[in-house]
Amino acid sequence: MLISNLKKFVATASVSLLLVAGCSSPTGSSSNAPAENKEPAAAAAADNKQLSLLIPNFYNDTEKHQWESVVNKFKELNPGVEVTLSNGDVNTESGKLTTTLQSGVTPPDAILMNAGPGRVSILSDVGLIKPLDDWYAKNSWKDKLQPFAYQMAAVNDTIYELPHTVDAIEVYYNKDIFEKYAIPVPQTGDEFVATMKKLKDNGVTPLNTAARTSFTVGGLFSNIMESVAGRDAVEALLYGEKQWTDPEFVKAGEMLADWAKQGYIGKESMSLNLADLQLSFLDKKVAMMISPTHLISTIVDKQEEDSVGAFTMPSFIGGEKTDPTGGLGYTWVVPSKAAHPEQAENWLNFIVSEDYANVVLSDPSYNLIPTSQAALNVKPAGALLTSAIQSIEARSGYNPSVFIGSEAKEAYYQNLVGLVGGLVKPQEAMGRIAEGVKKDQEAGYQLTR
Amino acid sequence: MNPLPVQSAVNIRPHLQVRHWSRKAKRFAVVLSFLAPSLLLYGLFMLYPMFDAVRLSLFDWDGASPTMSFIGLDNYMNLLKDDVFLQSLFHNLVWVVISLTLVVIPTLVLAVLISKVKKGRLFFRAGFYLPSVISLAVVGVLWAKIYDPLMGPINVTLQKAGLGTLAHNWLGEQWTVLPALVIVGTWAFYGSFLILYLAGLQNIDPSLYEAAEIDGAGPVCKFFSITIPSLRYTMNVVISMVIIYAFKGFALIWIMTQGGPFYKSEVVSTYIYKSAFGMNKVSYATAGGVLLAVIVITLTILFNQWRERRE
Repeated sequence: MLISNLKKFVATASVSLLLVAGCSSPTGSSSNAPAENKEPAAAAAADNKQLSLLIPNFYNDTEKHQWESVVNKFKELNPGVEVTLSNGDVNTESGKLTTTLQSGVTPPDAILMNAGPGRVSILSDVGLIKPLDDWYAKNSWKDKLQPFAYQMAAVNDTIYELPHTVDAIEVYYNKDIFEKYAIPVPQTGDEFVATMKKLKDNGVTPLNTAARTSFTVGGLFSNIMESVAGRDAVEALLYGEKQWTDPEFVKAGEMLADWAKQGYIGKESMSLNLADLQLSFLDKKVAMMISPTHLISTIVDKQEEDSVGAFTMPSFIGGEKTDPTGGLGYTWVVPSKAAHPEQAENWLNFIVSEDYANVVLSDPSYNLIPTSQAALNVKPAGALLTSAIQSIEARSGYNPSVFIGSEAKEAYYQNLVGLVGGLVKPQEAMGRIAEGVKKDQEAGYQLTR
Repeated sequence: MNPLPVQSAVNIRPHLQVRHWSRKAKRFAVVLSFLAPSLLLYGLFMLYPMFDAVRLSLFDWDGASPTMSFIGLDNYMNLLKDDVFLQSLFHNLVWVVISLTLVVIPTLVLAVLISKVKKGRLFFRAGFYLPSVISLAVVGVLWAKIYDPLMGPINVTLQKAGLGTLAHNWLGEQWTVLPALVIVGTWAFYGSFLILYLAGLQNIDPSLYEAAEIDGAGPVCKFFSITIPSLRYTMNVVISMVIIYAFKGFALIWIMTQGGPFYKSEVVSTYIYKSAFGMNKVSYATAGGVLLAVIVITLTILFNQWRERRE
């Protein structure tokens, strides 16, 4: 009896659903039309001098104070404007940002998110953020940005982001550990491996990463790719002219797996998150970590400026020079449903101004590399940031996670963690990333020169 | 001439029928008036989204675009070819098996022991129930520290006891990550199951135990011959809940491992979350959700049928 009733119910429900689904217009769900076409509540709030911003979580109080100074300067230049600053997860990888923008709750007027077309496209593809081409033309942002920052934002026909920072992902090291074991800063790839071996032989964990904050493993691998395959090869890969399964990238994967196998990458890396990683490094439990300049504020916060240094991972290709990897670090986007887009535009103009550059770069604890032309005229107060800026003055290498699509990125992070954990073979890992790239291409994601 | 008794009965029957139906209609209206608000809310917030989810799963939709194309069962076919989804489903099944092993009998034994305590029963009840009232976010962070390979109390204790070889990177190794997470999930929920068992134990007639004692039954014999059979309905509820929780689990995994390392703790719920919100594959993820719901409902029905047949 129960089964008979169940069968009837399932059959009726299935038929009803198929009918409903089949009869639905392919363009149904009109309520989901992109808000950019609706010109949201902005008009009603035209004279409302309010600006709400969503920025990444602070790693420490130093960063909080930096932002307070920035907001105060903006308020000084724009009397009467009330700025609401809130922190949150600004990664598209975790899904929180997408969920926030899809939720129907009034979004912030501008969001500072992790940059790159691979991330921004997650939001732009579905109309959650505004195209900024008009604002670029109106405010001459192209001329106000450093050329490489503009080029990285303008990889597709429409620009959706205003670059805030560029990354310089390098090797940070504890000077006192290096001094204790009389280890000089390595100049070649082989010297770098010898350094790790010497540290390991002396009972010091040479290098850690944080598998639970997967972009740190991505940063480490971007350095290895730059050193093993070279900048041009990585560029060709990202523009679809090479394959992830090509020998030079498989070799990079083999090197990552080998370092983990040899114990050069601490086994605890598999269960660390970013905060744990930074603590283990600054507590001298590990000699090196790979990081963008974000780490600087934590270094200053812990008063370790004098005992931490940075260098670019040297090349494994004879005689070649490497660059810190990166691309864009953080970038500003404006939600389609922003209530005060005119204030957002005002804010973005401030970000590319000399006033902004002066405020942040005069702070010795500041930890990001600004993208504006105006910033080039200001000398940074912090030594580590000065060194990082100089290291990418000519050019920077590529951090693939900034440039690849969502399918490839998920495969990239998971397989790199798999390599560190010895859970996947390098050839197989690169093959899986290549499959992700293929899926992204089928969905229409492709970088164009 | 007076009508025959049979004839009069026939004449009054329609009148009685009208009164009967009118009374039934009134009763139905009263019942409906009480049920309507909750039915309305249930329909609006439970049934409609569920049916709409099935509808969405038949389309190709990214979650925000104004257009969506009907693709029939393609999402389901793709899911069945998706290695990561199948691996996630397998992890869910492993989770069910380990959870059932860790919850059903051990929690019952604990409940029996607590029920035997003469003094301080409230203390033990409250103490063991405490994990159930802690937010899962806090539980996740707390246990991530407990499992810390360098400073976590588990590894530190093992090393101090000379058992360093047993120390593991609990959340970072492929064979330990899933059991480690299930233990946390069990720890976080066993208080609720304990309360169910304690309530069930209170309903067992003490004279059964007294009679068994007179017949010379020992504690083990009483446990298997009286306690377990008397608690069969409670155990059914517990088993059903464990199965459902095991398939629904998301928060702990997301906080502690996000499905890693290398998909080794990926379960269907984390995978569909990533697909929907990290990759904009909303309809694909919805199909995954529907498939998961079908599996949970089927397993629950099968379990209940099996139970009914046994009884």
